[in-house]
Amino acid sequence: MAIRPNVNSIALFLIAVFLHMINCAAQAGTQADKAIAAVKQLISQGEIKPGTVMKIRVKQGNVSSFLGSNYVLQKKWEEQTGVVLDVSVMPQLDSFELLVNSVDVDLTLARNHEYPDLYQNGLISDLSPLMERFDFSFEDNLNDGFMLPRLQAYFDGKVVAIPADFDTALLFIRSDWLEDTDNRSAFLKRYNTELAVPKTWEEYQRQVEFFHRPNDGIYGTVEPREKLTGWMYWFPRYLSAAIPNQYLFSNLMEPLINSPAGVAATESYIAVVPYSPAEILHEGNAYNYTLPFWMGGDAYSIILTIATAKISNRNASAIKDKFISVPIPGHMINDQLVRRTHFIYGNNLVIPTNSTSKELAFLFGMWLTDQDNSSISVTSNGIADPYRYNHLNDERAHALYTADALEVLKNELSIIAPSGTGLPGNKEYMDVLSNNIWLAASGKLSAKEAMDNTAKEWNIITERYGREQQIKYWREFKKLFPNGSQTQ
Amino acid sequence: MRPFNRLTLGNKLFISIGGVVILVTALLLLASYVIHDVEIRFEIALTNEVGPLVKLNQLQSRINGIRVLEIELSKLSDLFAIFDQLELIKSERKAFAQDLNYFNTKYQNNELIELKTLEEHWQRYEMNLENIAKLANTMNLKLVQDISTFESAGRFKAISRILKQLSIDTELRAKQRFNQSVSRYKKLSRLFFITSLTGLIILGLWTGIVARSISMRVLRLRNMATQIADGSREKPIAIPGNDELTDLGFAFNIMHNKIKNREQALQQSHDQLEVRVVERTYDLNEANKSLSLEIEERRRAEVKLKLLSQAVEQSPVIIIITDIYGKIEYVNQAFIDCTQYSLKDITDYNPLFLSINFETCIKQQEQWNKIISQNIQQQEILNRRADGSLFWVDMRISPVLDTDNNDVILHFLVVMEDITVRKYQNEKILYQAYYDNLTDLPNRMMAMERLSKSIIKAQNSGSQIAVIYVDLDDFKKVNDTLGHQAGDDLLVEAANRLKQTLRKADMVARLGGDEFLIITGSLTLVENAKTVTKRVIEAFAKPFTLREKEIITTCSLGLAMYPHDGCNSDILLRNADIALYGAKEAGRNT
Repeated sequence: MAIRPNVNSIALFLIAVFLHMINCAAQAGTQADKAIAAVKQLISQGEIKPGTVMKIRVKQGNVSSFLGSNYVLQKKWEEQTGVVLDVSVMPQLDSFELLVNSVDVDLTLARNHEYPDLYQNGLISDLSPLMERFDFSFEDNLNDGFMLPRLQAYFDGKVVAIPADFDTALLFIRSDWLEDTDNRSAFLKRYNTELAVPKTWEEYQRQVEFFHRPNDGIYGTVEPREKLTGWMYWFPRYLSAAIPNQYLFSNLMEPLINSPAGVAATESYIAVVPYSPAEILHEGNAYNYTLPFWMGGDAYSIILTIATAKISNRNASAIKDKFISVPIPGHMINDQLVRRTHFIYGNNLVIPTNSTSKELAFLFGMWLTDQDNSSISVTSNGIADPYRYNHLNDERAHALYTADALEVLKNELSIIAPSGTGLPGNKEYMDVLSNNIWLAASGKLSAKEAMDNTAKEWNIITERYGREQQIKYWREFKKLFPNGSQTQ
Repeated sequence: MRPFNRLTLGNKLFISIGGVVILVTALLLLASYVIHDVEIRFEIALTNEVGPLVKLNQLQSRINGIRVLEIELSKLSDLFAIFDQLELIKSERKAFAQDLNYFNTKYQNNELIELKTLEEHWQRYEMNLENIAKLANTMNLKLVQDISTFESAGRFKAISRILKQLSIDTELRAKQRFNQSVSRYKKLSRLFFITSLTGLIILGLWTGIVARSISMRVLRLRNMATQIADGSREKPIAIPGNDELTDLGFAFNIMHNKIKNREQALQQSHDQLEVRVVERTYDLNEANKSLSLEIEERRRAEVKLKLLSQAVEQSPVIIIITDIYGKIEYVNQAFIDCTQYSLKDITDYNPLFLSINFETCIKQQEQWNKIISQNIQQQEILNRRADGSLFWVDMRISPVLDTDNNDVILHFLVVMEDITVRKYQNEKILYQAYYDNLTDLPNRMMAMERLSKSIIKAQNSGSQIAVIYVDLDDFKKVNDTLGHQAGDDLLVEAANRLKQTLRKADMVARLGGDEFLIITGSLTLVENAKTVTKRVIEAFAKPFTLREKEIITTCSLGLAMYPHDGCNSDILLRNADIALYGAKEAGRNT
């Protein structure tokens, strides 16, 4: 049957495209324009004094995310507002110590899991009044909105951070090894199953074991296992152990981690240690230690943020075009695959409570995270990674991160859980967990003992902070977890 | 045709303008040459010296930037930050290499030896940076720091030193070039100034000579022309030279001769004209006298006309002037005051439009035509004002005839006098003569006239008339007991009851006191009259209310019939009176 082109349909389509283009043009730069207009108004009203300097403290490697390549963002901001940016640097660690000791910082960075402790200790400001005063909101539309702003910006119903990064745990594996015919036939022969992208933690563990050849300097995985950050790699295994989620606590704040699911997660966590470099458990050997193995082409897999795709894709990388990002594995529960990942790092913008220019710092944050400016930021060779939907479609981001990796990240959004416990005392809870799973990984405790110890210590922490208060926060935090329909 | 070699004013002007154009063009060309030469020299200085200086500065900045990144690298503790730092170093290295290559290609003739040395140091420094990158990728930051401290530092310093030396040399050369350019510029500027000054002096001298030549001869020409004009010069004008001004002198001479001949002819004509003017002046004086008399007559007529006009306008009587068809053309103020119509409201009407008898235009025109055709000069008519009120006028109409021909009517003059008051006074007198003031009933005089007319009518028709005397019983008692006012009220009420008992064609009159007379005609039977008497007696059966008191008053009747009881009014009245007397005697109320 011949298809006759429908002129009306074509005209309607063209009109729709035209209107969409106009709509996009009208929206472009809206957030930045609004922020600049507000700054100018504050200056004209005398709320911002002439000669005001805004002091920003960023983390190592993040200067260009704030100021842009060749300082293009700094020039733009200073030209538009006349406010000078004074940028200093701090180590790539949690921000608690910095904020306790800082006396002269207007804007800095904090990780998602730090919000409860920072806010409860009065170190970061509630930004909700500023959001309302300057009429901003974190839109999460799929066109150019923020990705998961409820998980990125809020604590206890208040806005405490401006999303400026997006670091969830992703799995990266060697695609060239996976596709190699010799490997595939050997794997089939050894395990009686095809070598393919792992869907479950069991499949993943089997592949790690298969590719581990220590005599050749090849390791099955270089997932970090050191004491400080081990919890980040334990969580995906634990959260996916039940439908819809394997929660950390009951509704009455009774720890659930010493349940069979918790013990199984810990066992899965420590099961890959034998297929990792020898010093993987040494203190301080986080990704700084493991990444060189991955970058040097000496490991089959690693779990880390999307930034791994960026550095692996560089020309100097030994594994350029030899790796892929794949969906994080899960557990089969009642014949249903349940997968979960969560925020592990991430550096979002927070305003110290002792900042002398809160309004200015807030408006700079909103200006920087505008659709256009943030695209410049995440493609400027800093360590801020795509955090708005438009970044995922940006050609420059595709060139840096690879389009495939960004597509995987986009597909993982529906299974991302919030970071940590979401409770005041989060650092204590996480330190206890990390220590115990490190002891288990070191063979000093069994998985069951590690989880029992953790549960016991968590109860003590809970009592210290007040069970009733913690129950209230926990119940609110639970609402942020992905629901049952998002299991895959 | 003039010889070409003749130096006319046009030629001189042409030479002057041409000189200016040539001078300006020459100066422009010279200035353009000077500017272009300076531009080229400055451009050369910029390209050859300032350009390299800028490029050297860029190279210096870049090598400093690379060095800062290199030093920072060993201080970093985060691998992602290290990777980003390495990317920055890589990008800066690439940029420095490109800039250096560009510099070498473009400026290699200047500093060959230094450039070769620079290349060698850069290659060695790059090797250090390569090693640093490899070590940093494996987080071997201690070795990175060692290389930065002990190996690359010397190479960086050597590069920096050579770049600095190149900059100093280049700056020195740039200054020399610049001074050469300035010197050249000054030399050319001097040449331009001298050339311009010389040209301007020559042009000024030429212009002065030409202007003086023209000015002197024009002045001489003007003086001689002035002498010719006032007649003090008889000799021809002589202008030296061989151009248009000399020609102008000859033309003046020819014109002078022609003017002289024409002056003589004009003098003769002037004398003849003088004689004719004297004659014409006399005729005009005569005509003026006649005209003055006519003007005086007209002025008097105008005064008279104005007087008449004012008299008409201010007249207390209404004055209307129409055309020959009766259409109103003028009304005076009295008309407007009386009728409340203005002239513009009534111009299409004739004066009868006010009459209540002729409501339509057709009837008004017919009546007007009738008045004119029958030569009715006076008529009383009842008119209606604009507000609807009525007024009587005595209207007089007279034609306005042509003074030259009395047979021709030009207009009609309509004069109206308001006679409303007089008219109503006459009607009141007439009413008082025929009616009774108290009861408004006809009085004796009118009753007698009516009776006489009724008798004549009955005679012609053969019908009968009843004459009935009515007298109130004991009326005097009412007056005596209740007062005369009550008596008058009784009479009025009795009159009303009597009127109600009668037909419209019948009459009841008050003869005086308490006596009434009823005349009822066109009767065929005596019984008809008796019926009337019966109704009258019944009318008095009900009591009268006087001063809030009810009284019973009866009446007595006396009836006489025509022709049975008499053939004239006196006999009939007498017989009726006798019958009344009989009734009173019989006991009244009969």
